[in-house]
Amino acid sequence: MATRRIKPFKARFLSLGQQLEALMRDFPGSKGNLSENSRLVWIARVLPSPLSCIYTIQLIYQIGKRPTVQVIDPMLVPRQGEKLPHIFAGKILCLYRARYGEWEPSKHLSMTIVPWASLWLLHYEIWHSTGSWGGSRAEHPARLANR
Amino acid sequence: MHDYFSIGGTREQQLGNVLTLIAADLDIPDYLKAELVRKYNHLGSWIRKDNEDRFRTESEIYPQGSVRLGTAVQPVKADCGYDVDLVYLRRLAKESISQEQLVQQAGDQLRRYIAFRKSEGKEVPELVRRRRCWAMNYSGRFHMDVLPALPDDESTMFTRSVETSILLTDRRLWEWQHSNPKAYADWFRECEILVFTEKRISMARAGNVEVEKIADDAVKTPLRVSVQILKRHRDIRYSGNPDDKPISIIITTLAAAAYRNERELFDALMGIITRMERSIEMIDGKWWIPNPVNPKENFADKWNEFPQRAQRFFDWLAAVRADLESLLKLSGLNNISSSLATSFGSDVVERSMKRFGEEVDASQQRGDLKMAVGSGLLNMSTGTKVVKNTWYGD
Repeated sequence: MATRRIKPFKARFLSLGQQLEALMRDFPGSKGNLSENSRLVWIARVLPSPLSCIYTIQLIYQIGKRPTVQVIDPMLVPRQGEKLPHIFAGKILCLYRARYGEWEPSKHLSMTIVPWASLWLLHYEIWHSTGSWGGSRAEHPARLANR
Repeated sequence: MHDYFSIGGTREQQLGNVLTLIAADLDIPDYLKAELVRKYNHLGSWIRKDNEDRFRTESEIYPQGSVRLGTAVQPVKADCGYDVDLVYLRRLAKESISQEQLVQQAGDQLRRYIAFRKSEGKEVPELVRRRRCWAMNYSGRFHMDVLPALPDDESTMFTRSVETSILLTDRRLWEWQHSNPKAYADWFRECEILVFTEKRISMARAGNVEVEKIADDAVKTPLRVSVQILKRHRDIRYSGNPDDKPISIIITTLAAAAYRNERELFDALMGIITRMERSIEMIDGKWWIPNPVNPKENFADKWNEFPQRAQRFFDWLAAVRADLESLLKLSGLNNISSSLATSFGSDVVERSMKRFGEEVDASQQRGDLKMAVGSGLLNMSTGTKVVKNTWYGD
């Protein structure tokens, strides 16, 4: 049993090139590049449901850091008198909980972060009309806790 | 069973799904339906025995109208309860009893039934006489209208189902009123027979039961849902002005006659709205909407007495069409919800959108939710599986 757990780190690690290739293949109209400091920047248009708005999202990923997704257009707006739910400072969408291993560097962004971003946007539109977040697996940080 | 929920497809399909959720929310919930059936069956068997013992006559109680058809909608003031029409048929000859006697005897029986229920410690309704019926009001849940009736043995008007023809009383009219709610329900179902049969079979398969086990009114065809949507739109539009609002029997009849067995709700609804007016006739300067099972009965007779009612109908029809067409031009579920709330009421739209979000979430948890590559469109048939995740953050 013990030997099965020892895998070379590299094999479980996707390179930025592999990540970007998969993103561009799934979204042929999107724009992406690997820029300075080995940073992946990918911009795509997403329509979560036939009745939704079309959103332009930007995904940034640097090896060793959390991938982040922001909505560039249209601007996210809160409900009257309420804050946006499930969002980090800088209007970065909260899409997963790292400690549960939902996303790891071995997983394709195109198969995790991107579908979650689309689903986030759908729940966001519904939240505007109901005031409640439709995703059942939601957790809220304790005050001042680390994410 | 959520056979009506789906995400993805065209704009029309998705709008149809949202409208279907709205209609489902306004429909009689299963637990209330079960209570209702229990209540009228209990009343029916008590009264049958009473008629045998005291009058040596046969009798039966059965639902008519929206409850029978599966097109009931919650009233705008939800605490008023659902309107339920029950026919109370006594097998007596017309010559043997007057309208007033029939009504009085029914009232006497209902009072004794209520006393009996009270003696058993059961909840009892308030009983009120109305123009054509006795109303039994179970607070907050049902308004049961019990319509005393006799068989219409002489009926020559009804080309079909003479045996289901009945005579109803009317306080303001001397003549007995001809009616045939069972034949009307049969006619209604014939208008949707293809889709009804298909849907009933697929529901039976999905539930792994025999087709006969699926109750007629449980099959929510696009016609029935369309009628619910149209009635609700009318209720909201005329909530401050109930006297002049287009009556349900007119909406239901015109919709059924206009239905072409479309499978998609939105197609059905737009088709119905486009064709509805074709069954309205003008004969010798008078509006005519014939009862499909009794062509001598004019559902629009009041339009001739109060011409503004015809105008109200046409205004309403134009408004429904404009509202539905404008929905298709909007983007963003939030904007669509606001527009839906204006047409159908904010509470029901909020509940339906919440349900929509919960259904999407449930499909993700089941592993059925996918995202189409290229567009990011969430759906249940093609693309990247949307794996489970945890929404974190405040």
